[in-house]
This record gives sequence, C-alpha cells and structure tokens, in this order.
Amino acid sequence: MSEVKEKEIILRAEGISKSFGPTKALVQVSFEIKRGEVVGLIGENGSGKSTFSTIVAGIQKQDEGQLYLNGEPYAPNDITDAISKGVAMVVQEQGTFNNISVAANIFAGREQQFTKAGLLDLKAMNAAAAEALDKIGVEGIDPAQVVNAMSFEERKLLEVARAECAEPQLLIIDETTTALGREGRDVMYRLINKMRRDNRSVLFISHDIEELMAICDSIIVLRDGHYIGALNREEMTVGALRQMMVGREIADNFYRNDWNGRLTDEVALSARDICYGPMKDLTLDLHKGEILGIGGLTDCGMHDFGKILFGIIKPDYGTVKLENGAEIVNPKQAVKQKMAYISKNRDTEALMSAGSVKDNICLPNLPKLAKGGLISPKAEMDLANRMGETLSIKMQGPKQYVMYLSGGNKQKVSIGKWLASEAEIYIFDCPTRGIDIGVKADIYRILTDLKNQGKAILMISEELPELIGMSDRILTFKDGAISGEFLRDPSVTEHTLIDYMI
Amino acid sequence: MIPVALYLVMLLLAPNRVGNLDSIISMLTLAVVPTITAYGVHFGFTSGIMDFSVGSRMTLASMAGCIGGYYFGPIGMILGAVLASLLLATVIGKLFALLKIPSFVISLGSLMVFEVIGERLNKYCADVLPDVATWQYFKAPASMQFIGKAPYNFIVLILIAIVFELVNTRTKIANQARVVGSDELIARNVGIDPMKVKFGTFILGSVFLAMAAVVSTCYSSAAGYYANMGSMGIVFKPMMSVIIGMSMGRLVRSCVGIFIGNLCLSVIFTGIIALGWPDNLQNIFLGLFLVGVLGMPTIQRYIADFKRRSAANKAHADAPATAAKVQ
Amino acid sequence: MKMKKLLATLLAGTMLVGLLAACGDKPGNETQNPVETKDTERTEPYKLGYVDMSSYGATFQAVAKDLEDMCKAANIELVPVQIGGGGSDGMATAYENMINMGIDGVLASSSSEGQVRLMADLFEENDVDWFLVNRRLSDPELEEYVFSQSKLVGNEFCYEEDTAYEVVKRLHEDHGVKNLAVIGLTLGDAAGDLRDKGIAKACEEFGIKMLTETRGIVSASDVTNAVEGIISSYPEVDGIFIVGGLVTNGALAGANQALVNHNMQDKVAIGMIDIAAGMEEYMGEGKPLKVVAGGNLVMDWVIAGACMINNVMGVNTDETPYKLNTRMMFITNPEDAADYSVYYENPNVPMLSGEQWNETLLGKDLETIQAFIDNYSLDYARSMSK
Repeated sequence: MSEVKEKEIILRAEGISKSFGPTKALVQVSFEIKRGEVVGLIGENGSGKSTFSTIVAGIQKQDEGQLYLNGEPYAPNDITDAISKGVAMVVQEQGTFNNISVAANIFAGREQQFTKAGLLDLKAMNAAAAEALDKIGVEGIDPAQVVNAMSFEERKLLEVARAECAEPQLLIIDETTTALGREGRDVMYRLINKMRRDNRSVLFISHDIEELMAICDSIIVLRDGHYIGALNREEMTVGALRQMMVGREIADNFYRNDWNGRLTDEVALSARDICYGPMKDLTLDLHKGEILGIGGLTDCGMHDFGKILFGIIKPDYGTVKLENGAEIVNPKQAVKQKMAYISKNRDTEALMSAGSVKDNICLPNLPKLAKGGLISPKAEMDLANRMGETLSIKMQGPKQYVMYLSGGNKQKVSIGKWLASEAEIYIFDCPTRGIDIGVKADIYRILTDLKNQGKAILMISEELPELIGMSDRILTFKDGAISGEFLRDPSVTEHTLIDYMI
Repeated sequence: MIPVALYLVMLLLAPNRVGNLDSIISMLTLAVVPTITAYGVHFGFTSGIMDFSVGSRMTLASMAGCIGGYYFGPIGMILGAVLASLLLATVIGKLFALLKIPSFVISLGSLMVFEVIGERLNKYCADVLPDVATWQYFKAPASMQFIGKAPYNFIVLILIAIVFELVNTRTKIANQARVVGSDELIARNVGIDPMKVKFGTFILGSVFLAMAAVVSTCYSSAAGYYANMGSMGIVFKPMMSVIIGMSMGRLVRSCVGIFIGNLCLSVIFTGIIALGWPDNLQNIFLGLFLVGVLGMPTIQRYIADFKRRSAANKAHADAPATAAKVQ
Repeated sequence: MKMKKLLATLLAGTMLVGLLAACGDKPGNETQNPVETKDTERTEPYKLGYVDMSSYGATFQAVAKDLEDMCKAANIELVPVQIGGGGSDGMATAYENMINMGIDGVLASSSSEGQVRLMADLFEENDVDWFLVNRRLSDPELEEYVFSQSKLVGNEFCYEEDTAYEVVKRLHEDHGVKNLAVIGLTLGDAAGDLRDKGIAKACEEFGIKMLTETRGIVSASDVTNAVEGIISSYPEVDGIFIVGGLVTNGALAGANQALVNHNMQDKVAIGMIDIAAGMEEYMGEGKPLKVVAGGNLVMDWVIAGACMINNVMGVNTDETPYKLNTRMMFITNPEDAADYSVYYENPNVPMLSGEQWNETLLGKDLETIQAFIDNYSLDYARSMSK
C-alpha cells in the first residue's frame, strides 16, 4: 500500500462490464495502472483486452463500472475527449488515411492548432510533424509526402507519432508490434522507455509473452472477460502466464516433440530460378510429408515467394512445377492442383470478412458440393459444421459473420476451407500471427497432423521459435537468395538462424 | 500533356477545323463552367458523397441569381445565387445528416423536388416578372453577360481556381473531407465527426456551385428549368473531371488537374464537332478517355512488368542459370 | 385480365380519392340532355377519358380548357386522369385507371410507338373507343395491326419529316443557307429520326452542305457550347437547325448568345422546330432566328376530342378508323412569334368558344374537319377571338 501511495495511480478500473448481445466481453474487471508504469495486458483472443482498451480510449462505453483517471471519475465521450484528458491509443488495425500527407495524418482531427484566419499553416504543420516523428525516433519520412506509397510499418509509426503528439499521460498500444519489423519495434520500445522515464504510463497489449516480459513492469491477465490476476516483474514466468491465460497448464514446448527431420524422396513442388524483386534465381524443392520453414527479415521477399508459388504473383523469371509436371501460373490452377495458400494478411487476403463462416469454408469447395450444378444448403452447413468441430472454431454457428470472430478463430476458418478441399500442398504465411497461445497450439497440432498425412507444407514465418519448433528443414532468405539451410536438429538456435538472416 | 496530345490528334484529323485561334479559345471557354462546377463537386466527392442534385441546385441558384441581378445588379446576382445555393445545400446536407441514408438517394430525391420548384418558380416569375423570365427560362441580366465571355470568363476562372486551391490545401474542412473519404471509421477514431464534415462539404461546395451557376447563366444568357431528372446530366462531366484531377494528383495541383480533365473533355467535344462525326462517337471517345486515364497507372504497371520480365529472360538467355540448387 | 383489373382498381382507388377531394365537382349537368348516342338505351352521359398534363404547363392547361368547353357543349363527361410519373408506365397506369373508372372512350397518346400495340389490345379487350393523338406510326406492320382494331376511331398526326424538310428549304431559299449545322434530338427518338430524314432529304435536294451535328444537349449552356464549337470549327457556317427547341429550355437563348459573342448574329440563320418562349426576341432585322416550325398541340387534342364526340353522335362512323393530318405552322416574323403565345396554347384564350365548337367541328364530316385544320392560322385565331 505504501508503494501505491508513492506511485500515484493514473488509471483505476472498478467493476467494468460490457456485453455484446449474449456475449459478455468484460465481467467486473477491476485493476489499477500506476504512473510511470508499463503494464502489459495479455489474454487469449476474445478475452476482452481490446474491449477494455477501447473503453479507456473513449471509442466505446462500458455497461457497468467506473473508471478513474488521476483519482477523478473518467468517462470519455469520444476519442477526442479521451485525448484531451491525457489518454491516447494506437489501434491494432491500420489507422492512417490515404491521399493525404504524413503531417495531415498525424494531425487529422486536430488541424485547428495550425489554423490561422481560417487557413492551415502547412509549414508549421509539417514542422510539427517532423518534430513528432523525430521525438519517437523515426527518421527519413518527409512530412509533406502523401502516405499512399508508404509501407504498413511506416504507417503504423505515423499512428504512434499521432498518439505521442497528444503527449498522453496514458498510452495504450494494442497489438501494434506484431505489424512491425525489427526497426519499428525498436522505435516502439524506445518510446515506451521514454514514457516510463517521463513518469507517464503505458498499457501494452500483445500476444508475445516474451516481449511483454521484456518490457513490462507488470502484466495483467484477462480470460473470457474476467480479470484473472497480475504478475509483477519478479513473478513473471512464461509458464505462469500461459497457465493464467488458458486456465490449464500448457507444456513449455507446444511445438512438435519429435526431432525426426528425415525427408522423403517424393518432391511435391519445385521452384526453379525464381526472379522477382530482391529474389534472384531462387530454387527449391518441397517434399511430401515435409514442413519446410522459410525465415528471413520482413522485406527479404519470402512473403512474395509464397504468393509466387501459389500463382498470385507472376515472377519475372522462373517456374513453379508440381510432381505431375503441371506448371503453376495462376491461383485458379493452383487450387485445381490441390494447393492451398493461407495469407499473412488474414482480413484482406484470406477471408471474406463480411461473409459467414459457412460461406468462407465452402467457397473453394463449391464444385465438390455441387450436384448437377446445384449446391445444397444442407451440404454447405454440414461441411461448415464438420470443419467447425474438427478445428474447434469458437463461433455462434456457421452463419456467424467472420468479422465477429476473434483473430485465432478467423485463422482456423481460413485453414478450414483448405482442409475441406483436401489440399495436398499447403503454403502458410505467418500462420500464427496475432494469435493467442491456445489457438497457436491448435494450429501447430493441425500442421503436424497434415505432415503426418503426407501433405507438403511450406511455412513462412517471422517467428524463429516457431520455425525451429515445427520445421523439418529451414531455409533462410537474405538479399534475395537462400543464405542457409538447416535440417531439423536440436542444435539449431535462434542465434544460428539470425546470423544467416542479417 | 494529355489535352495537348488530344488536341494534336484532332489537329491531325482535321487541320483546317481546329488549327485556329478561335478553336483553341472555344475549347478553353467550354472548359470554364464545368471546371468551376467540378470545384464545387470536388469536396463532397472526396469525402465519399455521390451527389446528383448538383445540376438542380445550380439551376435554382441561377434563377435566384437572375432575380437578384434584376433588382440589385451584379452584386445582387452573385448574392442571390450564393444565398440560394447555400440554402439548398443546408437543406440537403441536413437531410443527409438526419436521415443517414446514402447520399445518392438523398440527392436523387432532392433533385426531383428541386426540379419541380425550379419549374414552378420559372412559371411564376414568367407571370409576375416577365423581364426576368419567360415561361421556359430565366434571362441573365444584360449587364452581367460579359462574365461569360473571354477574357472575363478566364479571369473569373483563375480567381476561383486560386480560391479553390487555397481552400483545398489550406483548410481544415478540405483536409477532413479527404480523411473521411479515406476511411470513415478511422476518422471517427481520431475524433472527427464524418457527418459534420460531409455537411461542411455540401456548404463549401455550394459556394463554388453558385459561382458556376452565375458564369453558366452569363455565358448562355439563360437558365432554363429542368424536368424528369434532366438536371442530373449536368454533374457527370464535372465528376469525370474530378476523377481525372484526382488521378493526376501526383503530377499537378488539384485545381489544374480538374481543369485539364475538363479541357480534355472540351477538346473531344469540339473535336467531334469539327470532324463532323456523328454525335454518339463523342460518348465513345469520352468513355474510352475516362477509362484510359484512370487505367493509366495499371497500364504503366503492366509495361513495367513486361520490361522486367523481358530483361530477366534476356539475362538468363545470355548466361544460363548458375545458381546452385539448394536441396 | 381480371387480375389486371383488380390491380388497376387498387391503383385507381387512390386516384379516385384524390379526384373526389380535389375537384369537388358536383353533378351540375343534370338539367342538360345527353347527346344523342349510338347506344339509344344509354341514360348516362358518355365518359371520355384523357391524360391531363395541366401541371406540365400552359399548353396543356389550354388543352384542358378547350376540351372542357367542347365536351360541355356536347354534354359529354370529360374524365381527366393525371399520370403519376412520366414514360410508358405512367401512361399505361393512367389508361388502366380510366378503364376502371368506367370510361367509354379515350383520347390516347403514347410516349413511344412500341406502346401503341399494347394500348390497342387494352382498349379492344375493354370495349373502349379510342383516338390515337399526335402519333404517326412509322412501322407499317404496326399501323396495319392498329388500324384493324374495331375500337379505333382515328389517328391524328403531323409529318415530322416534311416539317424538317420545309424548315431547311426555307432557310436555303429565303436566307441563302448553304452550310448547315444541326443540333439534334437524341438518336432513337422517333420524331427526331424522322426529322433527320427530312433534313437529309432537303440538304441533298438543294445542295446544302451538312457540316456537323451534335446531340445530347442538356442545358442552355450546352447549346452555347455547341454553337461555339460549330462557329470555331466551321467559320463558313451560315445556318443552324435546332431540331427540338422544347427539349432544352433556353436553347434558343443559348445559341443566340454564342452568335452574339462572335458577332455573327446576322451571318448565321437559325431554324427551329418547336415553339420557344420569347422567340420573338431573336427574330427580325439583324437577328438570327428566321424560321420556327410550331406544332399546335392544342389543335392535336381538340381535333381528336371533336372526332370522338362526332363518333358518339354517329358522325363519320362509316369511315373509322380514319387519319387526319395536322400541319406545323411556320413562323417567320416577330409579330407572329409574339402572337403565337397569345392565341395558341394559351389557357386564357380558348381556340373557340363552346358554341363555336358546335358550329365548326361537331357533327361535321371529315373534309370539313381537315379543312378547318388546314385553314387554321394565326389570322384565323386573331379573327375568332375578336
């Protein structure tokens, strides 16, 4: 208690509840955040992390309970009100605007401060934007440039700058680092440390337990909308956090537990002399019953490589051929040849968000479901239900819209549609990105099952433990070429891989 | 460059017809009214509004301008048009904010009502103010008709373009219109009220529409009423030019891009007349032109892809692949 | 058909309520005797339906006034029905409504030629006499079909092709036009296509060069644009033909303005079909408008009305279905132009009084009626209104 007095409490939540129809997103959640503290918020998908943070940020209101900011009752009318009271948030999704400049993005909604006699002082706005970017340690972005051509990561940093510009006393960062590469993450960590030094607070939401443990002073765990508890620095262990999140004990190693990386002789897919962007004459074979891991830095070309294999991108040179000699030239043909591709960008490339679970799962399987040109609604429902059970998809029913599912369950849907199609070759691009630990374990189980069934799997990943834990063979990409090949072996470590990637 | 290229094509096809100063001035003149109209359409369009009522609002503004001009001269004409335009924009903007139904529905409904008002007003004024209106159209005050002629129309256009550029690049409302047009949900998340911004774009645009109405009336000396949704067609060319202007955003300022768009359309229009081609060819040209301009970035990408692939093929033909196969 | 009637009855319900509420007309004709009709057992007056378009402007108000006077004189009950929306659907609904209101005959116009066959079937099935107003059937097969119907009384129209031909001829012969530009109606418009034929015929016959054409005109400033384009591309232009002056309000003013801007008012002669408001302003010495071919819409409806009444009276019944040819008037001076709006298409100045209708058209044979049409002129109208 004495410590609490020493460190002023910036935010106190008392009995916060929120429901969406029959779903209870938050149930009587109470906790405190102290000034100068970096608090992690962790929980499975659907545990209520985002709901809680959006209530604090003024995006939505709680049904019950009371928030206190600096000891005063706090009920922001909207996001602007929250900002004016010292609470800002960087959201999970993309939050920048096309067709306007970097500066206009950073100060969107707050242009008034640069308005003189009804006109914007663009010079002042650009200078302030440059200063804001500089403040968070971002270099090389021209405040006057239009954002359209900027990368997702650069745009995310603009949002960070936008939030920091308001000089918030409490900054909420929601799953932002998963979208960032190494440099972006460093920017974010520097900002978090600065906030701490300035005696300001951060509520940091992430699925990455290691990341949270590295930067947070304490970590709060939510599960199914309930506050489960908080661990301070001394108490934090990966195992303890996992157990609190999932409600059961999860083994430390939830990857494959065998070290048998022996490859079959049967080649399912061959890529020859692929040239595209940074890629130069990339050649590889994917074997049946193999999980081939591809690792590298974000911009090494590995994500495009996945698309080339599936025929989405036509390479400048080179071929992708299957065991039967068929050359893959477009996705339609790839699907016909029993290939599957699960994109890194789940919401935009892998799923129809405004479609139901049933529609998403059935889409690549319609020819199979059709009888005499007609598709039976019952057959569709049966397939969706079957996949829902096989993959334990948490949904209200097959008719629920995908947009209302949690990230992990969305990913299960995007995998489900290909499982149902009985594909033989799977290309997974970051299969567990932004997914909680419980679903992650499920997905690894699916990968292992597929491998055991003799399917060929190419897994592109930015998570090194995942690559090491799941792959029979790992290829590292660097400067558009394969820089290393590692067969499954306990001696392969993250350091070994990083040396070949950087 | 595009209008110049189009002009050169026309010049090639009909050297005697378009190769004179009169033709060039005529093409420039033709672009004046739609350009000012497009400035009025631009703000709403960038914020995501599809407004078909523009023509009917301009018609009523023209009528109010003619009445104002009759009583109070040039100032009266401008004031009359601007006030009427503001009033109509307030009505449609408020309806839009209140009912929260798609803008094209609101604008179509408003258009029908405004057209009837226009017709009734025209008929009424023909009875009570025969100096201002015949039963088919309003007459522009004689003292104002010079505004529609060169060089005055160009001077007016330049002044309005400067104001437009200033407003478009240097005001909060124009910036927020783009923000809302880019993503309404995120706009809300940064504290912008999209409805308020859209209402603002109606009001802001209406001032430019009023000026377009004044110049148009002075140019043709008349402002006729419309029936059976005939006024809807007025917005199409300006809208096309806004799209062209936006697609040229990286190269030129919006005010210039929009003018270029309209100039292209007027070169095509005049060119078709000059060539004596059947009128339906004009629509084919306009359609192809629009598709061509908007598809330009994609075409450029295709060309770049083709060049890259050719280079890669050539490199491999010159030196067979030496990359080691990794197994 | 029963279903159709049921639907039509429902639709007509609202219309009836409107009619009853709006006109509040009382049966004031009870003292008058109905005209002698073919059906001698008839006790109620003959009901003549027509589509009332008074809200469209003065011309149709004049039509309404003249028809009302004429029917009153003949003790025929005129049943005006308004259309909810334009186009063929609005017309069709209006006719269904009339049938459900128990009309005996109808003055029928159509927004397109294709609609006429359906109308013919509708009136035939429901035993309703009809007169096809202001529509020339250009498709011979359709014409044969329509004229084989027993309920068709007659068809009245003017020759669009001849009118356009005449305008071009006058521009050439009276004003020396040799290089003509055309501001036309949309392609596919039946009247426009016929007028185009007439223009082409005249150009060929008199050696006139057709420089260019432009269509799809929406506003007055579009017309100014078009004329600007014509003048700059064809400095030799000496004639402009505005094929549909009523299609764009202010078209004439817009065209004139472009000529004023280029000081070419006295160098280019304008010919036009359709009467435009204030056209007298653009006629006369040094002004461009030389010929206006004006159809008399009131005449179209009044003749049709008279023919239907005659049919009820048993006059000319041996000759049904028959054709009558109305003619456009050619206005060439500002005085006539000014008088047109006074004596024609003016609700305050009916073409004829009730008595005059009786004397001139009712009970008269077809030759007399055609002669009335042929001789009807501004001078005649001036003299009759005195």
